Amino acid sequence: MEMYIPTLLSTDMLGYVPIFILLLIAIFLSGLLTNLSWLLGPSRPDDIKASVYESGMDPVGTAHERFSVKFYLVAMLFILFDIEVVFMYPWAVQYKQLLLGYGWFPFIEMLVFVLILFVGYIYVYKKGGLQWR
Amino acid sequence: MEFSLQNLSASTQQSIPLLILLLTGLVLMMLDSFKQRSSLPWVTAAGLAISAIAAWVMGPDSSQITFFGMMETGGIAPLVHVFICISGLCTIFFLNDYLSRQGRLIDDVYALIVFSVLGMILMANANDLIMVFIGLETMSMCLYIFAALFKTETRSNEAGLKYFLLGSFASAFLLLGISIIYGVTGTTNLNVLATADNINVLQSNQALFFTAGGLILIGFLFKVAAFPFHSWTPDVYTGTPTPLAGFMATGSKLAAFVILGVIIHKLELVSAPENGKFVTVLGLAALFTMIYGNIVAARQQNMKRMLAYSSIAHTGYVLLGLCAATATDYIGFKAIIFYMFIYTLMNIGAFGMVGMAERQFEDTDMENWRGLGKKAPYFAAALAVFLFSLAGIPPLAGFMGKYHVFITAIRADLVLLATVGILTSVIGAYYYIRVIVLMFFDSQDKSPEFNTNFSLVPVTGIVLLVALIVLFGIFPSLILNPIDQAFSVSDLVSTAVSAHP
Repeated sequence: MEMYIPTLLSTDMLGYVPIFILLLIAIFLSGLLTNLSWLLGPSRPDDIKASVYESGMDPVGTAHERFSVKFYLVAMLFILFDIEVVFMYPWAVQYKQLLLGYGWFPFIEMLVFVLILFVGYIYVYKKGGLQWR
Repeated sequence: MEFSLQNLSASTQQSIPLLILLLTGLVLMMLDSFKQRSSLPWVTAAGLAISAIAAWVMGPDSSQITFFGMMETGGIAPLVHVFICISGLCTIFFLNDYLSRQGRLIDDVYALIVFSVLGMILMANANDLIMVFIGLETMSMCLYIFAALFKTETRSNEAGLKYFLLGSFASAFLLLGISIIYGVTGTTNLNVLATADNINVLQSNQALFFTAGGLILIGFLFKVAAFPFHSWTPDVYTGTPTPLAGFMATGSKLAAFVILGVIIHKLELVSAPENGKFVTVLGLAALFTMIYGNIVAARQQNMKRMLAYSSIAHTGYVLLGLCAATATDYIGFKAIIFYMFIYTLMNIGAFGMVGMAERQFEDTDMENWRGLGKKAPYFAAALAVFLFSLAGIPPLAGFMGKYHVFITAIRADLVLLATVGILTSVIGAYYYIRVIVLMFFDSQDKSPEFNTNFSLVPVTGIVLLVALIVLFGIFPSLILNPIDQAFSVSDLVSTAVSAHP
């Protein structure tokens, strides 16, 4: 137990100390400046100034509005097909080395991956998952 | 792990049975999309059968780690692959008939069965904790959908939501355990974990190690519905389409028990000088699971709930076997795999038959079964065979399964646990035989009209399963010999023996 945390601090984390100091300065400065304007500035509120959005429409109703459940399906499908790119980045970055080591195999592997996703896409399309009914 | 071309080509060759399953799943999705619904059950069955045969034929003679250390493809892996595929195949017999009786032709379910079988195999034959988790989630996602399959029914929704929330929670426990193991040793590979360096690191971090082991254990005890983590089982099985509930109770548990056995084995290797802690925990879980499952099942008035609680009880027996196997030389691991295979046959049979009668009775209340022996003698007799086998009555396979588990426990000096197991299985005999008494020996005839015109496929399934249960009850060596052979080439037993001198 005890050997872990100290070693971590002494070697790997040491490089982050300047960043930590910068973070402290940033928090202090931004806090100071926002609060200074509130302290020193004159404050003369009226009805229009106090409204939520000064030169826009009057806000009507609640922010917690009900919206169609169909959005969830679209959002889910978006995430599903968006995530595939996450797998492609490391593959693309390493592709040169992979090509040297394994020849065409990594390329075919990625084709298979995309093919599986394509089957999923056809499934979603034919099942009407992309239709706004 | 060697990242070489040899490893790659061996992995490619060994991946063929798994790729067959993947391909079957994709083909099923396409057939479903293009409305080819009549071919779906057949394609599913063919895919599972071909994959099982391929795994059996192509399985290497010796224990082999492939896929860059991710998977174990030799040893017991082909056998487990075959057994899990059989669990899927048995379900297919009853599924189409059940769905059409319920008037809900949900065709997506076939692709999901194949994908969940794939997940189970990936989990059971994994050699890396990350692979275990991916397999577990692949399997679980499909099972969550099975629970919520009839999306317009309240009960099904309840089952799906309960299973999903509790299941995700349990998965989180498992993942936390894995991440602690990774944090301490820097590896998730099960073989690398049991090397000298990592054992030293883990032993100098006892607190973290046992926390991690406990968390992993909790994740799996939930999946197999063992005592403190069983509460989801009855509600989920009641809401799930009946044949799929049978599939849930067998295939997924078989896979979970295999990988749990392997993981516990590694953890025991790590805690070697003062081992026995995990055995104690498993033993306690087994004790309470057997007692709780059997006693509560005896009070049930609903067939599906009774079978759900009885599946908790059977989990207890298998945990007893696992405990015994871990405490001794791991030879007892054979008994678990044998038991789970037999349990697969009889439990899917029982759930399938309840599903066949369900539509005619409107519900699964046990009263409906009263006097069924006169109206549908053959149907009732087949159900009686499954129930007798579940109860462990001698000429049937269920008896051989229980015999091997209890004998393993006695050989491991777990006499108290074995005694409790035998006593609670007497309670088990009570509630199984109560249904048989209701069917055959009850003069009051309250059951509604019963139409015995069943379609050919489920009837074939019943005949086949009954025949297999009788056959394996009389000649258990037909299954025990392949299991023996698989274990003789597995390095699981040999390393276990050397670790416990």
